[in-house]
Amino acid sequence: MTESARPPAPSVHVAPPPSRTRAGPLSRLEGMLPLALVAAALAAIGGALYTLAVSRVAPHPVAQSILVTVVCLSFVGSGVVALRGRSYWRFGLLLAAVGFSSLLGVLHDANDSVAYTIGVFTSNLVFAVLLHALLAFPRGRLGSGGRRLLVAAYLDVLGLQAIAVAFDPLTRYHSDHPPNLALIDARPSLATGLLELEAAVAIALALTAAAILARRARAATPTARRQLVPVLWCGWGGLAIFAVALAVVPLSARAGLAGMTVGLLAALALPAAFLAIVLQGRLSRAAVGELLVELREQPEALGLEHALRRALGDPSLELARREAHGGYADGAGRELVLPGPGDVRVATAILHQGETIGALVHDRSLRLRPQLLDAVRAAAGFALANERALQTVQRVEVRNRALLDAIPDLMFRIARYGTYLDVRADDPSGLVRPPEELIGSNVRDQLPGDVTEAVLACVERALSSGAMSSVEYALEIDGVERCFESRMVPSGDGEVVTIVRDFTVQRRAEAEQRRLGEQEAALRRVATLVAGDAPPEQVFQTVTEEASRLLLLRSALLVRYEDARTATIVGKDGDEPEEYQLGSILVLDQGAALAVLRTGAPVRVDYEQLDGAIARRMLEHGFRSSVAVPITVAGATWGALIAGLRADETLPPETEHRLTGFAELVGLAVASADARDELAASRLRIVEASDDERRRIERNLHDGAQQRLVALSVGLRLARAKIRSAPEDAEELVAFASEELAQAIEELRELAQGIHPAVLTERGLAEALEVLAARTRLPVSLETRLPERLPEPVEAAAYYVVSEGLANVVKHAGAGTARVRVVHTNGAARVEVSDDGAGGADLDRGSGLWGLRDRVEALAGSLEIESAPGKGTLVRAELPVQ
Amino acid sequence: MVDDHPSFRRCAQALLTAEGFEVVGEAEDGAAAIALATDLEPELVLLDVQLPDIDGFEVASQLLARDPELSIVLVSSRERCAYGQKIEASGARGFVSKADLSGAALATLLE
Repeated sequence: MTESARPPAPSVHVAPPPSRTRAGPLSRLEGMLPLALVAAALAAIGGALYTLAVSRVAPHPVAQSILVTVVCLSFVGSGVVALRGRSYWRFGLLLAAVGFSSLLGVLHDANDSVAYTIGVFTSNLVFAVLLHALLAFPRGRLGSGGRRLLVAAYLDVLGLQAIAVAFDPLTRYHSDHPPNLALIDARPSLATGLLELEAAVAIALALTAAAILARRARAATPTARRQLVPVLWCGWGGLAIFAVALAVVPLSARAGLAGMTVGLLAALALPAAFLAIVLQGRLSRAAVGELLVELREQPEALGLEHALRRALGDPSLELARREAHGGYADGAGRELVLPGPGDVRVATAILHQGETIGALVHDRSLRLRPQLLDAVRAAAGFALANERALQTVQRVEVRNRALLDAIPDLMFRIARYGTYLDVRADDPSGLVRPPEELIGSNVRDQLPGDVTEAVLACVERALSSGAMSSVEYALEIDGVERCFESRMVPSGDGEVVTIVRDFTVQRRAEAEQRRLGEQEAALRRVATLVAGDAPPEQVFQTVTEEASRLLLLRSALLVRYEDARTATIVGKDGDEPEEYQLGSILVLDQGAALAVLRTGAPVRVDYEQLDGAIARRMLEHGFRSSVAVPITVAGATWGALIAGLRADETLPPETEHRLTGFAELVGLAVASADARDELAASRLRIVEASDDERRRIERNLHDGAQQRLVALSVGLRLARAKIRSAPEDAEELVAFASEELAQAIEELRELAQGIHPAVLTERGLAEALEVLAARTRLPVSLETRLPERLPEPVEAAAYYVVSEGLANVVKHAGAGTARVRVVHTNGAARVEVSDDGAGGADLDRGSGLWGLRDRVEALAGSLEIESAPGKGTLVRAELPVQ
Repeated sequence: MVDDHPSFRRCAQALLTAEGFEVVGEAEDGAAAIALATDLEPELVLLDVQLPDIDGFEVASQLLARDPELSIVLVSSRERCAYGQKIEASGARGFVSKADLSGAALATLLE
């Protein structure tokens, strides 16, 4: 069934439980009516028996007495039983009416004429009342067809009878009958005719009633049909016999009366069938009792439904369970659609604590037995509620079990004084003893004293406070120390449940975290020193002390290699041999320092495996081995950080790694100090070069132009003095002065050119180099590949590399030719000055080249010289162009 | 007259001669100056401070060591203040800037 095909609101089809109240004054008569009926019946039977006993005309007074008593008591008794069942009270009254009306025929044998006449009038009334009861079976209500039929029946047995009696002298029954007081005119043939008509109508009515009953049986629900069919057959048979008897009456009074009697006996099937229904109700109530027992013992879903079917006598019954989403399902969880209005079956809601938790889908006829339905409904309610509760408990239990299983912890029950009552351990490796040995033993016998005291104090705290109490402790299990936390809660009289969690791993992680933190702090302290340009000696000593403290070393040394055979101790901490003092020189022998120098990697050495002075000395001082890591500066092994281990010491495998952290800082400090020194030297050289240049310029000015100008000044003063007295001398002096002035101008120009060549600024590197080459007193081949002008500082640096290079060629190389090549390619300008001279030049000799290198390195460039003896000299500068 | 610049010696000689001085000898460095002064015994030595071998102050102290009465006047193309106390300490009679050199300036110092 698809979702859309589902009835819109299943709950609307669930009928409310049948009403158990009956409105009106009948409820007040409820208690009295049966008693009154029984009393009246007994009185009437008494009267009837008396009438028959004294009757002059009764043919079989004893048999008649028994018959009327049985018939009357059967119907009235059944009626009284029906009155007690609340659904059948109307029918009960009808049954009682049949009982009472059956007695009226006795008056037919009365000696008294009045009683006799009444008997004659009402002798057939029982037929109509019986018909009434049959049609109204079992609720006591009639349909409209039934009502019309009954009106006809009553008119027939009372009206037509009365008319017939008025004309019937009644002489055919018995000669001793009292006179018919209602006789108007003795016309026996008319009376007989009327009686025949009455009989014919009665037969027609009986057939119609049979047809109605047959139709009802066909339309009935299966359960109702099972109740109706016996009644139908008996009632129909009774009516038929009655009708035939009525037909015989005009012919033979005896035969008629006998027929009536047989009809009444047949009609006894009615109270019998009715009692069977009531009895079945009683049996069903007993079945409810059994049902409850059965439900208690066999709570399965299908068993419940079968038990309900048995209890209600309805094999088609289904038990619908209300689902959380509002729909219904059967015991197997399949969806179940409740019957709608007009369906043969109906649904009765099952309530529990005011909530609809299910429904009984059953035959509609069961509505006639509301008490049974109520009882079964209540039982089903209990069963379903139990089922629900059970499911909830099972779910909770499964969840709790899953939770418990998910807790990877140990669980104990411990009594107040320390006895292990119970142990649960998925992983027994956390137990000091196997569980079976622990249970029944005492904490005092299993745990160390201090742990026992702490655990028992915790137990006592939990018991006295009634709340959770916890304790942490460490235990050595299989040689490994493990950390536990025990949480306890009171779980009964003088006992606790404790969950013990092993948090060794967390503790180790915390310790590792702490250790890393300390290492980081130590490294930070050293790094701060390094960054603060502390003197290297201080850095070395601090590193040695920090590493020693952090790794709990008893002896640590920091050495700097001087060459392949010696090293200087630059840091020390701890109780190393006395001869190892700061500043002392180690001659490298078999040992950690030499191994590090050779391998450039961390090493561990065992002095017992080594031979040599160092190994012997270390063993003499109680050292057994060393761990050492290299200190690397600019790719070379600069020194080593060495930890000495005594015989009783071990160092964890990560020691090398941790020492390396410190060694790297030492390397950084050394590299930083080297760089700082180099920078200071470079600055000094720049300042010195600048000073030298100024001095050179001043000397050049002083020796050259200035001297000439001074001479010029003296000469001009002399010329002025002689211009009148000795004009010829004056003329000579002026000529001299003019010559000196020209010389001074030329010298100034050359000087200015040396300070900064104007051609470089104005026309660029290539042309400046052409001028330079042209002025060099040596053949120079010049190659420049400069597609565009270089930045000014690069042009200047390149110019001076060439200028200084050519000057050196002229001064020192003894070369025949020089070659200059300047190329701008791949983001750099490459400048080369080479010659075919003697070679053997050295960058470290000659301040001119140093000054050039400073200038080039200030632009992040590099300067190198190739000058093998006899192979000429090549000066090459690489200048980055940004 | 001691100076390493020939053009200056030439001009100075002409100037001083014109103003009544007699230039008895010329030297272009300190060693030559000391040797020549020993030979010629001049009354006045006009001594340049900056010489190629030893500086003028040293030459002055050596000349005065031999003849404490000798008159020495230091000359230089630099200003007097470039030398500070060295001029007085040298025992020379005085200092004249080359640009201000004249017979009158020398006469003033010699008085």
